[in-house]
Amino acid sequence: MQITCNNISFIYDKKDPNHYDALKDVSLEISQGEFVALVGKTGSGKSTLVQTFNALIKPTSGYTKVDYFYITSDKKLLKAKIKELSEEEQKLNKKLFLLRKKVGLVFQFPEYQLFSETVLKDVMFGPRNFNLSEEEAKKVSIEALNSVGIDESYFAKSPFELSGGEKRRVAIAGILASDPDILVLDEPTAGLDPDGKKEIMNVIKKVHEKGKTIILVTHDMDVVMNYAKKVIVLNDSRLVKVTTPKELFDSDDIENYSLEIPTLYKFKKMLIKKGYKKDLTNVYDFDLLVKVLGE
Amino acid sequence: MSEAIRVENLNFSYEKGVETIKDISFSVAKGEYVALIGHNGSGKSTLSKLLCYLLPADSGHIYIDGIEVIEKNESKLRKKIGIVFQNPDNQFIGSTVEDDIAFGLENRNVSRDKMVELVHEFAQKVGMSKYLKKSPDELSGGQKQRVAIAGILALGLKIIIFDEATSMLDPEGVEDIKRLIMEMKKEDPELTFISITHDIEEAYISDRVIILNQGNIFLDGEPNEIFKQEELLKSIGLDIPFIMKIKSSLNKKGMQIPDEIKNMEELSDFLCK
Amino acid sequence: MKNVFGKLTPYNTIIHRLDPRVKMFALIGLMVVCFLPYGNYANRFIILGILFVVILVLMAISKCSFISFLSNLKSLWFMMIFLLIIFVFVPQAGDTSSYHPIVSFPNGYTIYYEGLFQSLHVFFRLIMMIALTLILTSTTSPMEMTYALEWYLTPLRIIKFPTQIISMTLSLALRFIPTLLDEANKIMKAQKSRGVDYEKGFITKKVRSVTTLIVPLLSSCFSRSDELSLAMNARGYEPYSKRSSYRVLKLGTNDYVSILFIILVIGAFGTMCYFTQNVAGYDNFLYLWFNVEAF
Repeated sequence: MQITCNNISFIYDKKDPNHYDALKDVSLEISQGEFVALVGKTGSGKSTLVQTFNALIKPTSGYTKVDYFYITSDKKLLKAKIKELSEEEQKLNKKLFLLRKKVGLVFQFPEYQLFSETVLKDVMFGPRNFNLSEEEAKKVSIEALNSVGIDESYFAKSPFELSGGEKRRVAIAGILASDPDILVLDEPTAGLDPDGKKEIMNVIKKVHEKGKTIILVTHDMDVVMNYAKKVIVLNDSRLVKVTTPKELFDSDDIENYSLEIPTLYKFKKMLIKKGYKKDLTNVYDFDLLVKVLGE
Repeated sequence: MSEAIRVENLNFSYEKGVETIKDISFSVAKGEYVALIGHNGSGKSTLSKLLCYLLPADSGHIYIDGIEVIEKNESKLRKKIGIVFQNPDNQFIGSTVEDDIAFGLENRNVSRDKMVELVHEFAQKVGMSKYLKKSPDELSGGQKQRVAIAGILALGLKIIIFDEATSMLDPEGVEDIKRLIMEMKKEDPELTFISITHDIEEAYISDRVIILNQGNIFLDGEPNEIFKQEELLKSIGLDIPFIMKIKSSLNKKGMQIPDEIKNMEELSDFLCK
Repeated sequence: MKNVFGKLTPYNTIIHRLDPRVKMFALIGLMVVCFLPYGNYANRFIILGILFVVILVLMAISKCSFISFLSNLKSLWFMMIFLLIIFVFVPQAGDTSSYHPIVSFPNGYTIYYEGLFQSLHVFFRLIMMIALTLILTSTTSPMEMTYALEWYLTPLRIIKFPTQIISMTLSLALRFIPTLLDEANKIMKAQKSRGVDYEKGFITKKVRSVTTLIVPLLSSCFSRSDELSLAMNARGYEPYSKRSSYRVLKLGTNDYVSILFIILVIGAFGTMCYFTQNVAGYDNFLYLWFNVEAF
């Protein structure tokens, strides 16, 4: 399933005299099965952008297209675009919940969305909303919980009894259970300890291996370095770069976007700058670095 | 140098039979910067609350600058030790920056003129004097933590605990607070910091690292010594700083990296020689 | 709840600068003036008209947005219709022999002018109350109002009423309203991503939808208040001990002039109230206005 953003802009509260553009003329494409990291400093528009993917936010101009869904608050444009679709798709276009089933969005600190009496019921909530029967919902929810490493002994517990890391995994299972084709995660590792981070990232990696699209909004450049295949950089509400993690961290303009450089790259740059005798340009991981330095 | 904190045979449990803190003893000298690391559930945060008398200990003794942590000394203790919590929003009490810095002073019944003076002085110190009239929803997480720090400094407290104070901030905010801590330390060598953190790189630049594991002190010492014990740390699932990792890997390859090399700058100089 | 009573405007007019205690006193004073009886309907409308001009002038001085005033009134349409029904169409109780009918139906059901005037009168008062409240809220921050309230409650300390605690509670509540609104917004978005539709559905479904918001919001409220009380405790807050105050309210020349002005206004309208009590015969004047044969 393809995501296309065509020249989208978004203005929060036009009437407010201090309004500002949260997004300015962003165009991008993400294909099925990609692992994309969306980076940029706080307030650069990352969170706004991903919320257009499941129509929680509709661009004030331009459109986001996910599969056959057009998302925009520009009514003229929407009408014109919908006309191009087949009759069947035109009908489905109005059913937002179909879109939200396809695009699973995990917000920052998703543990705050838990509300049911038991872990299992909470996870089943999404699938039930998307019209699965009780039994089917139960089946997919158990699968989802297993995939995030929550075993049966937890199913009947109240989600409020769990530890922070467990809550987060349950919340992610709540989205996975609806079997979205695209999984969007906003800072999934924020506030976790190193172990918790690794667990969550492993879950995400496994989901990606099943052929799902992963879109990760993050500040953590180590995560970008280790997991993402493509990086989209936003700065001041504009898209400034679409590249690979390696190229981004090697480039010199990375500091212009107030992004952290992973320590490995920092060290590598430092060595190159000081005129290290051996060639380091193709060194992208720790083991290789040690190998080159150690010879 | 005299002691800022002294803990003797401290025990604590939330539930009967589940000991969160098991017979811990240690002391911290004045002016020391101690990093307290360990897993979630290792008892770090509980320990910080015990030190500030936000929780009463089950048994054992704690002395803060010579004053025992017991109920009747509570108001004296509040004049010695302050704490910055994890969530910047939930410790912002005043409606604006100036009100929040003044909150602790109001509690101490400081005169209004003195308060105005102190609020301005310490807002200046943490770089927030431009934002005195701002409300918390107009500030970034890092700025809110700066305000919390100003509130503690304004009270003249010399012992400050950071309870994962940077874990909810973005990288800019984290750097910001780290830099501020270093500046404060330089300016007033009497200040004692206890920083509870998951950030190994931050722990590495401290004076001393205490590692808690399952309510016990697992390791205690200089960062350079502690992080040499790679295997031992791995056994409890802790990572080591990049610089230590690369030094030990290179040493294994037969290179002789001198012990004095403590940061990337020095190591790159050494390698480029 | 979208700014029912407007919000602080970013201007610095003379009314913005007035002491909140003075503004509160003025609000209450003018409201009382609104509710004084001014004899027959003719007098009532004329005198309230004068008062309305005074209020409009105050609105102009405080740069109070007329548009937000009108939008506040818009939500009152329902109230207006309700009042009309009550006063005009519901048969009048008691002695109606001196009333003036607009239409009489053969079965004896009569609609009277008095009913119409009564509803207009009540509505007029209501508009003025809203205008007054709007002036106060758009020129005074909630915190300032808390300080004023605390000052007005001071005499109650004699009977051991905990005014300091009340005002601390109030100011904490005000401090956290934006934080919690923000959080509610986030939770709703997260639940929408799980297929909740807060707008559509039957009552039972709606109740379910609301639980998905309320439960997480309450749970976060509790954990926030836990942390907040720890933070307050750590900073030496003791509810019953003597605290000094960073905010000191001081009356300036403008404040004294304003107090004098308000007292004069109250005095003037009070006098009018006194002299209109026993004046009769003006009723006819109004009926003429409405093109009805003179009585």
